[in-house]
Amino acid sequence: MDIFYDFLNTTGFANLSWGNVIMIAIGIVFIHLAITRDYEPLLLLPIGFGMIVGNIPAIPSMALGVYDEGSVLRYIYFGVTSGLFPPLIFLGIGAMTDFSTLLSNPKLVLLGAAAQMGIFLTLIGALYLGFSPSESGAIGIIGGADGPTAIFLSAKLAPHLLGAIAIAAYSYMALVPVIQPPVMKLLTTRRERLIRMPEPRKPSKRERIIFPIAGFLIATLIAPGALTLLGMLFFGNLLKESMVTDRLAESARTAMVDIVTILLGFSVGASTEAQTFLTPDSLLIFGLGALSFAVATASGVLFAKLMNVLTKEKINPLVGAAGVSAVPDSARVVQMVGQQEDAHNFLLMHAMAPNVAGVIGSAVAAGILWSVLVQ
Amino acid sequence: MYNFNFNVQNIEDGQGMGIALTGMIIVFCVLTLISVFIVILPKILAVVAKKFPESAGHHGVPVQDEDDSALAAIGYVMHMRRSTEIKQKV
Repeated sequence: MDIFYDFLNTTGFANLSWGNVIMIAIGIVFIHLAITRDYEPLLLLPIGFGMIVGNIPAIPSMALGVYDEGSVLRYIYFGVTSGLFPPLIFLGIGAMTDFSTLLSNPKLVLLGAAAQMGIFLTLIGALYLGFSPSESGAIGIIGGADGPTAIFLSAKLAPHLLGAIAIAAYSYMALVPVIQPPVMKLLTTRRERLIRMPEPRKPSKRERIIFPIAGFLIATLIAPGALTLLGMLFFGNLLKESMVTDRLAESARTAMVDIVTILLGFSVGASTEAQTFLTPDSLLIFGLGALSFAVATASGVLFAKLMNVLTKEKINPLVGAAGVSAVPDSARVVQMVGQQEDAHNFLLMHAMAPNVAGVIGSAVAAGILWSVLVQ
Repeated sequence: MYNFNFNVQNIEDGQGMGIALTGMIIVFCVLTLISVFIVILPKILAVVAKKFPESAGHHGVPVQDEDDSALAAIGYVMHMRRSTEIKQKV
């Protein structure tokens, strides 16, 4: 009978806290949003299930959770804490990305830079709230709207905040269709939203092959901190554009990126144990994260309006909102908001240019923050 | 762990303004340089192409322009043919 009572004491029911219950409920909400609303399902579903797994109370004498020495989950989570998974995801993204839109309209690249304002203003906000400079840098990167970059930088600068930052980054990326449209509509007039842009030209094969090499050299010679992420991004793109490594490009953009996404999403979810996750820090990080997305969107839109004042060829300012690097969701939102005004206005291809420029911009920003704030 | 200390002085102590300004300038520098490179690349390649015409892949076969209008015409003919076949069946 004693053995039976001992066993009962080790069950999840006996050790479950209210925090665990809340986190399990949040995990179920994530899964619900992924399945019924189609909000970033590739990420929210693994994260949501990981949250449920991570909040089943572990038996103290057994290595089960991501924070337990020697547990299987800890080995998987090592890919996150070591910063291994994000560059591998960037390799896959590079092998998927078509830089043609960016090559055909280079001035839209600047919108990808303007939207990074969200990162640096959030950094200032986090400092004001009392976070240390390293923590503030890691929190600020949520404004880049790039999950892998946020995980990579927080693993380097503030590993103790990694779970909260990763969940905030991916949650807000999933909520791009909810957060961005009000900001875009607030900052533009109907007339501006109706602006049509000329069809982009088609870049040559040579341009598409040279760009990943030249782009990498320009970015990393100025900001070497971005070497790992941008190296993988541009390498993946070269695999695709060279047309001689189709097998490698295909593996990078399908099987490899899928495997890494599963492991990353699941282990990040499993790292959200209530005892470490439900803290005032996390709440503030979530607040700052929402603010940073709004600021990044506003910066892109306002910069597009400024460019319209300074240049002859008009840009639809909605395109500026795609400067946040949530690829391709924010470009889709631009298309959607544009078509609410004019069903025949196709902004998607134009929006992809600042969108992929935003990926480069946020990786550069992460590199800068890493090199400046690393202790 | 966070210690609820809202204070503007924190920004100055953490060199927040300096980091933010430097960061934005560097991000703009990188993307402006990339933008400038993209602008001049076709011009450089046009000069290079005079001496070394662009080839498809590594077999040295000259590139033929992809003619979208030809593809559209083929598509239209196929569509008309299928439509006629369906009408005949009905």
